[in-house]
Amino acid sequence: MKITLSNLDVDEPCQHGETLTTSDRLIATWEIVSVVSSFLVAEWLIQPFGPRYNPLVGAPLVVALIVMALSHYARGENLQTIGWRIDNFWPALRTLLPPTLGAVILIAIVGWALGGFSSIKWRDWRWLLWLPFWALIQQYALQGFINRRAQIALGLGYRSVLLVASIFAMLHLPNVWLAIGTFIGGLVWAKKYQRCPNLFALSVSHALVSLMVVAALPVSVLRGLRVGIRYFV
Amino acid sequence: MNRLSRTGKVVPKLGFLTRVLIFKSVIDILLIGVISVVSYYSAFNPSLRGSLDEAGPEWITGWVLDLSKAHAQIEVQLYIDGRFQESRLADFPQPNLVTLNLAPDDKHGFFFYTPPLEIGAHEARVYAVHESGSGERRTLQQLGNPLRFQTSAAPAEPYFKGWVDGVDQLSIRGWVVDKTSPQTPVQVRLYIDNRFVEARTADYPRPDLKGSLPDNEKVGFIFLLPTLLPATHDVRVYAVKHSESERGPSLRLIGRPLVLNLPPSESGRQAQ
Repeated sequence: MKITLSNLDVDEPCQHGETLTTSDRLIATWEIVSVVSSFLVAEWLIQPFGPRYNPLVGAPLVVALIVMALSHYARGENLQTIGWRIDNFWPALRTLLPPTLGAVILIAIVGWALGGFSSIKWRDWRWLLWLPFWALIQQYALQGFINRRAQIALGLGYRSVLLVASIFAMLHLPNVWLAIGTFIGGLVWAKKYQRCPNLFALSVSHALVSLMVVAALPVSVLRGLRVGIRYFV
Repeated sequence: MNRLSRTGKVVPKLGFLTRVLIFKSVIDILLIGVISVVSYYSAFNPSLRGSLDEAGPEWITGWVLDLSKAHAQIEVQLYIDGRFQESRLADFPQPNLVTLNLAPDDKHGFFFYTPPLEIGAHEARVYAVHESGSGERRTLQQLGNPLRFQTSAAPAEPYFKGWVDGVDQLSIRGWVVDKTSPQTPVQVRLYIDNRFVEARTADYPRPDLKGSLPDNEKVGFIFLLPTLLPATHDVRVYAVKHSESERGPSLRLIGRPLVLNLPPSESGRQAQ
């Protein structure tokens, strides 16, 4: 890390090759808070009101997506740097395969021990089609945006990885078991993304683990994957 | 296009980003404000008025009214010590509401018989139920403040229905009926200052109750007061409840404990 005292600029070997200033770090932190707050507003404030599938939930998410897009523009990031790419798909998938398979086997064992494998949700083809797409959206928000801003705020390495995993877990509260699972998953995915950013490979891993979670674990443990205020109803 | 630094790296447009974030913060605040207002008006009923007037060992009463739909009768739920007890429509007559010109009719009161409770302090809360979201949500709105009350004896309700009409220097009068067996006269016992005084059967005719107790009008009791020292005395009448599940008969307080205040002259005259 090189610090130039004249203008307090900080150069560090960030994968994006950007010049980072204190204000840059502060604004990156603000970006994270801003986007995460939109998710929390959707989960905790809008979902309880209105019909079950409340279209208003989309309002803060759309605002967050617009901010994320404008942020990418302001920081000169392109699709390639964010991880919307296929050139490194196979190397990224190879690095993700061992932890993904390990998680799938572990979940299967836990599900078997708890008398799971009774869910029929995985037989719903619409849900199966939606799952990788939803995983891709989550990984984009989590890694393509939050992880990248966490790297600006805290640098590459365990601190930014820990922050990403904590945010991912927090967004799954108050479903405690899901929050623990997503914290562990968040650690692995954030670390892998920092090494080899590819959102498609991450979404494959995310979708496989989610599929096994839904198929294997009893509903009593996961409460239908409900998060936010819906967990209580 | 983003500017490039001397080293050829991208210089982020932090000013632009700051403006975007400020703008989003403003939108967030507006959004949360709108959600708060909309949710308040949909999940809660701002035109609901009501009060928990009285809570005691025998009953819990009050009233509730929707000012926007004055004819509507509202469901109310009783909680004692945080536990749900009973739900009913608030359709008990409450003439004051008409007198005060709050409602076109008086059927907006609620009356719960206090369920059997452990002896000690208790807290009663009554909530009005408000449905919204096409019946998907049911919100409870507390009516007035919670009221605390003390049960010093197991109340006659819900096994017996009765009341102590009054006590004076000469007698204590009242009535009681066994709800499960209205034709069977109830055994009653008089206690003064927690000391047993007399036992009787409540079979004295009460024609004034014929309208409300059509099956049996021989439900009254009268105790003649014994000689008492000039002081304030605690007077209680209990109904005797026989139960197979309990080891022996238990005493159930009819109405409320009454206070009899005997000044020296009255006491002297009574003694004479």
